[in-house]
Amino acid sequence: MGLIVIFLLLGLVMFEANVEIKDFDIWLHLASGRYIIDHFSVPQADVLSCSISGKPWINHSWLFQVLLAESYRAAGFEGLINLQVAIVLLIFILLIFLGLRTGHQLLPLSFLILVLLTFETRLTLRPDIFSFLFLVFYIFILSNGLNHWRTLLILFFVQVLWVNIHGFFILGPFMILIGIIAEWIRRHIRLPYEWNNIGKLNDDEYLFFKIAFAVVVGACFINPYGLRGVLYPLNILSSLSGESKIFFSHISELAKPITFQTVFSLEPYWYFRAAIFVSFLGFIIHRKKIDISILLLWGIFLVLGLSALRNMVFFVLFAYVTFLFHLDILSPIKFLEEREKLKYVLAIILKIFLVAWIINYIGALSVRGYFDFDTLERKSEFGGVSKRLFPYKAVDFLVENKIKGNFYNQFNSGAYLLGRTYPDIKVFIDGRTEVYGPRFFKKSQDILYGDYKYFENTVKKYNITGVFLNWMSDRVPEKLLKNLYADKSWVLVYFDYDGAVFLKDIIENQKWILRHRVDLDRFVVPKLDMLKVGITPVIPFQYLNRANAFLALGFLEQARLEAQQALRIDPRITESYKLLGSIAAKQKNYDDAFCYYRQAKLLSPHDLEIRYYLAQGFYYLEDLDNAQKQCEKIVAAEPQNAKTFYFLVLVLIKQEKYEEALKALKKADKLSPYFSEELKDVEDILKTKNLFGPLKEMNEIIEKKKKVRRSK
Amino acid sequence: MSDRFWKKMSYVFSLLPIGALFGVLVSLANLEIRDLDLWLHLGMGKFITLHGFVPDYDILSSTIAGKMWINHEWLFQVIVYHLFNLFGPDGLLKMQMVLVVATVFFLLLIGYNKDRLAITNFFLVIVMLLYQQRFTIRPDLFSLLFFAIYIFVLALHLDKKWALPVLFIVQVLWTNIHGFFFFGPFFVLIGVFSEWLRRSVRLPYEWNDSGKLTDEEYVRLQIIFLVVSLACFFNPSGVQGVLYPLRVLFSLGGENKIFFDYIQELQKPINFNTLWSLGESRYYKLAIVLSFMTFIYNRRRIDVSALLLWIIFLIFSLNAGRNIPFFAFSAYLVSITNLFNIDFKEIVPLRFSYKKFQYLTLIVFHLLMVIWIFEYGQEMTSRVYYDIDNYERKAEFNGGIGKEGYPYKAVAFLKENHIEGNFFNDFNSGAYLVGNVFPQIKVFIDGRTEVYGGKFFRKYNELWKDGNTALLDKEIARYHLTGALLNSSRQHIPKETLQYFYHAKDWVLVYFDHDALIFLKDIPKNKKWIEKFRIDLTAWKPPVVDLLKIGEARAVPFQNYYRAYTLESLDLDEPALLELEEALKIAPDYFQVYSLLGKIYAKKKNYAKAFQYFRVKLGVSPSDKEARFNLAMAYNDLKEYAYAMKQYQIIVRSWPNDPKGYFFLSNAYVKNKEYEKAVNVFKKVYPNKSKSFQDSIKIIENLCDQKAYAYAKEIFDFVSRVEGNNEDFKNDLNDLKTSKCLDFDIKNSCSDVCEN
Repeated sequence: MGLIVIFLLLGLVMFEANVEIKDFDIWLHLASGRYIIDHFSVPQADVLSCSISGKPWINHSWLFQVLLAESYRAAGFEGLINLQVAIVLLIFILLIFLGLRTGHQLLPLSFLILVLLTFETRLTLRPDIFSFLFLVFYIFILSNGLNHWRTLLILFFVQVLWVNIHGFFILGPFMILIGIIAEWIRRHIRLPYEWNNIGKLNDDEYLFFKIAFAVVVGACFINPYGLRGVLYPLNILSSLSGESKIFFSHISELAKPITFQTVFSLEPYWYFRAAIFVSFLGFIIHRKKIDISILLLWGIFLVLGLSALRNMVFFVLFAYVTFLFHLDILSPIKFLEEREKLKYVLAIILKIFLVAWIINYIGALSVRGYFDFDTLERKSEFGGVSKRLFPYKAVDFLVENKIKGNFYNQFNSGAYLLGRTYPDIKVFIDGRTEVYGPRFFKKSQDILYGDYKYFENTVKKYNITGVFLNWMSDRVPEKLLKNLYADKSWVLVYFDYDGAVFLKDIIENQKWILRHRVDLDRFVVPKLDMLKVGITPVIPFQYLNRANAFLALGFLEQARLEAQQALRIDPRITESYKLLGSIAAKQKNYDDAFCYYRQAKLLSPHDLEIRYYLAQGFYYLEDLDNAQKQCEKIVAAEPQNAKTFYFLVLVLIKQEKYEEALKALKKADKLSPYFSEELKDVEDILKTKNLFGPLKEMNEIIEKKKKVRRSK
Repeated sequence: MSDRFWKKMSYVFSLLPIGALFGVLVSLANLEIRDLDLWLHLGMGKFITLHGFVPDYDILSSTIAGKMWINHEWLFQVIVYHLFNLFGPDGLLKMQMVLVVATVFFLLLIGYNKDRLAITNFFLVIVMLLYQQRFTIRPDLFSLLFFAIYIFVLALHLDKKWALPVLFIVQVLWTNIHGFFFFGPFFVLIGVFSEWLRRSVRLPYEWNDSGKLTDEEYVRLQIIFLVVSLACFFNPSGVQGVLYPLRVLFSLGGENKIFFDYIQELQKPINFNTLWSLGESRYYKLAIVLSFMTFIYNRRRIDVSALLLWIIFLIFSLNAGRNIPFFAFSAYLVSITNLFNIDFKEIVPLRFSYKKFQYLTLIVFHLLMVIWIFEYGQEMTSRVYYDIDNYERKAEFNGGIGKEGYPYKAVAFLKENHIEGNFFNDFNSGAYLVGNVFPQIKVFIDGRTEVYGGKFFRKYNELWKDGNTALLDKEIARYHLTGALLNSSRQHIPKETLQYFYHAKDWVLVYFDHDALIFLKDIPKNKKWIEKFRIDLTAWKPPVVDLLKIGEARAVPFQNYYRAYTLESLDLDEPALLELEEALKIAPDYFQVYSLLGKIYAKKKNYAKAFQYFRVKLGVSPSDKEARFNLAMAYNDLKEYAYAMKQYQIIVRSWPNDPKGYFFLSNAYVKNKEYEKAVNVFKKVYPNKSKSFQDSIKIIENLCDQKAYAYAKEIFDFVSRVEGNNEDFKNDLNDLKTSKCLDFDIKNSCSDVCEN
């Protein structure tokens, strides 16, 4: 029975690992891998971007990139997916071996379900999965004991691979170092209960550990950058506080999995929480016989896991090890000791449940998919490349027309552009945050938020001849889009649901401009053959994306038609109502605007952004009391929401609640130094009511903000 | 801390769930009034109070006026009338709270055991989950209380002197409150019979000794049986009153069986289709399984009376959902009886190294139970809905009267305008009419199924559901009906009935809203109301709803939807569309609207739009049969026969016992020119699943349209062999002969069959 569970589990692993390609950075790795293979050298400086060209670049994943590029050359995208499947399968085979070695089956396999569910969040072909593999390998080796030169050789070899594949190679030596520190503690510090004796090494083993540490540290130097390559992860770690913190709020994988607000809730990531709880319980039950090295590593991996989503898997892998370690321990609750037969019967029943659960889960996974607008069929989430995340049509346009140049782009599309168009197109920014640095990143964000002057300077500085705007994986950059469209020196040559391409009106671009210039006034909303769609659930994102873009550009009628079409396809989509509300508001049809915002709110009751729009709806209809209530609910849930605080200022001023308005303004000012559109209306009210004098402090804050805006 | 300390702590914590349970019960008992029959009781209570006697003949209805009626609930009616009169609906709810608390208190006393409170608490929670499904102001509440008292006295205090007089008083009250009074003597009889079994029959294991009474107790029990049986005679109808429940019981097998199909509370809670489903009646199933398992664990020392009680009430509850709480109480009693007899170690495979851990585990168990009870209570009591009339949120568990189930506006209209007469009404509104407008208005039918009887109910169905116009004419004349209240608050008004009154020249619509339509006969007596309130539905506009006032509250636009449904039934499609548009503005996710929108557009032959709406509805409710049929028909209307076929194939797979799906699939195959498949599917359904030759003839016609005469003949011959001399079939064949079948062969065959 246990074998059935094992095979099913491995089957599930293979199935899950077969997930479609949806990672952004993979494209950058492909481009880089191509470069390395073609030039037979690992670049020491940037070669991909037009903005940081020549800047020193520690390409810590070069070996991964080569592997990737070769797999792609040999077997295309399927080759890449197969590579992922192989790695993940190997990881789980090693984990199962580790589990079976304890003499137990059911419990390790059950915990592996938690591991797999956590793994799902990182099932994407990145160097990280090699780090997971190497980590498991290290655990496997170390659990066998460090007492043979062969072990040293294996560790050395693994470490060399690791250092050239992923920046987390530091974990290898780190684990051994913890082992050494733990042993030192056992020998020199009086620990509680029997901790001093648990996991204690003899002198030979202790020496071997130290030699192993030296060996793996030495292995780290075998990389194209030498010492710089070794120090690279430490440099990254040290830069994480300070300015680099900006990345944590913009990059989803760097967000914390558990926050203060969600600490007592089961969601999100209940499996991660379960792993924490179960592994922690092991320490409690086994408190008299804790192995200090395991405790230290568990604690460190827990901190790592709690710090960012991307690190959760590291923790659960080690939590599994911890769990295995504590399995044999007898507890105050003796389970069925005098009823062997009942014990086996129960075990069989539980395994049957596990089998049923796995089969059921595979069934549920196999139907995961989405509607493919190109083929008008359902596309499974497994196999192939995602059609929902990448601006592939826009990039197809660039590739088919062989467009070249230096392009301004958003952060999320940089890697994809590189993977598809390099070296014809050099990007402005891509996913290499550690190379670009926080200041550059912030500046690139400023351009998106509307700093057109800076954009113009950037164009001159980096000789930018094209702009690639993507709204598949990003919001429509409204201000930039509007400015570009209005700017006569830029011409729109591509516009669709996935993005827009502008070319600078220069001689080099003329042939494409003449052929592909887009007149948005003539844009026709494509009709979807609903008969073919049938009852397949479809998220009409194409229409919604275009509608958002049209709205930003001020093409209200086109935006309305797109939103109506989206509603026709699925009337449950909140975004459609939100768009229609915004369109109605712009047309000063406030009754309709409120109606739509209200409908949006009913469909997404917990969406704070929609609540913000509803607050606006109340405001337009002069129901200031309710507008205030909505704002207060938003800031109660999201105390850092500066935009809402600004709006609240406006609402309070209109109600003549000046003291509260001032409090709100101060809060908003602390959260965001930028001048907000709402403050224009506040100024108007103050002017109309002649309140500048009495509300001196408020006026001062507003003036200060205006200066910040002008200076920018 | 010593074991004694932990033991005391464990006991203290075991009291917490009891407190939580009573707290939640009180909240749950404050459920707004929704019961239909209550109003009849209030109406009768008023009559009895004002006139000082209990009539033994009907006085409420125009159809059974003067018929003999054993009013077995007169005392309940008087009680509720007085409470309602003095304290309003909250008075009734307070009464409910008191009854519920008292009932559960008795149950607690029965199961109280200081060392085993975990078991008592656990099963009391199960009781609560089942009991609260019947929290509605009805005489059943008293029956359940008396049930609990009986068990309490018989199980624990049989030897006490006060047992006999208490049971006597309880039985007298019970006889005059609810028809289930016969349970009283019945319990005692079970006890007597069980004791006889123990003494006279060799039972397995130690059953003969388990629960055995002393001789004195046995004699006491027999005396109690006689006394409580005699107590049953203390009712206004004497012997008739005593025999009443038996009469009702015996009539349930005959013509009165029809009620089980129509009245929800009389339907079986578990049937073959829902047996393994966890979604349906899961707590009831849990109670059955757990209580059964306690018999298994205690198999050596089963108390025969407990076993008999359990079996009888299990059968009783499996027959009708309304009886589940009785089973819940029985299951509780037998479970604690069984579990108190066995060692904890035999049930739970856990062994504790230290006693302290056992007590700690129990403390944690009780804490978790408290948390669960509170969360359950909170989840239930936080249920609110939006009252669009008053623009405010109303909690379901905050007392008052729930409006949604009553035609309250229509009846208020009747009351305010002092409209009188004999009214045609539906089954569900009868009691409400009685409670509010009797004696000005006499009803056609109300909830007293045992008085109207199965035959009358069948006739009523012909009138209400089928809209049998000839019968309607006859009954209107027979009972001098001068008004009709067509209630749409709980169900849609059947189209035929609606059309009858709307198009009848001598009936005038004077009231229309989501809850009902009121028609008055155009006679001199009704002139003043007709002139004042006549309504022209062709000019109907939906009432304006102030969305700003509703704000972000979730309001269900059932009013717009019900009005739209009625308007559509009257083929007033434009006003219906306006109502539906308003409904979606109020709640964009009120997907019922989409079915009706699709239906309207299909009627207008705008099939593309109809398809658009049907696909949305089905997308939201993929297991909705009607939605799938609608979508299939939309494909059909759009001449997309291949897609239509796919949908019918799904229908046939999902609902293999519905013949309609097969007929439609067969037709779809015909239209898609897959004649062989059409014939094969047809043969699957006819005549085994359905003998609808009308549907068969449609298929034949379609085949003839396609000039697939050979296949048409094959089906025709097949049907003829089955129908042979059926006159209706021959009549339909005449149409076939003259209409579409041009093929000489079939025409002649038709003639042959007709002539034979």
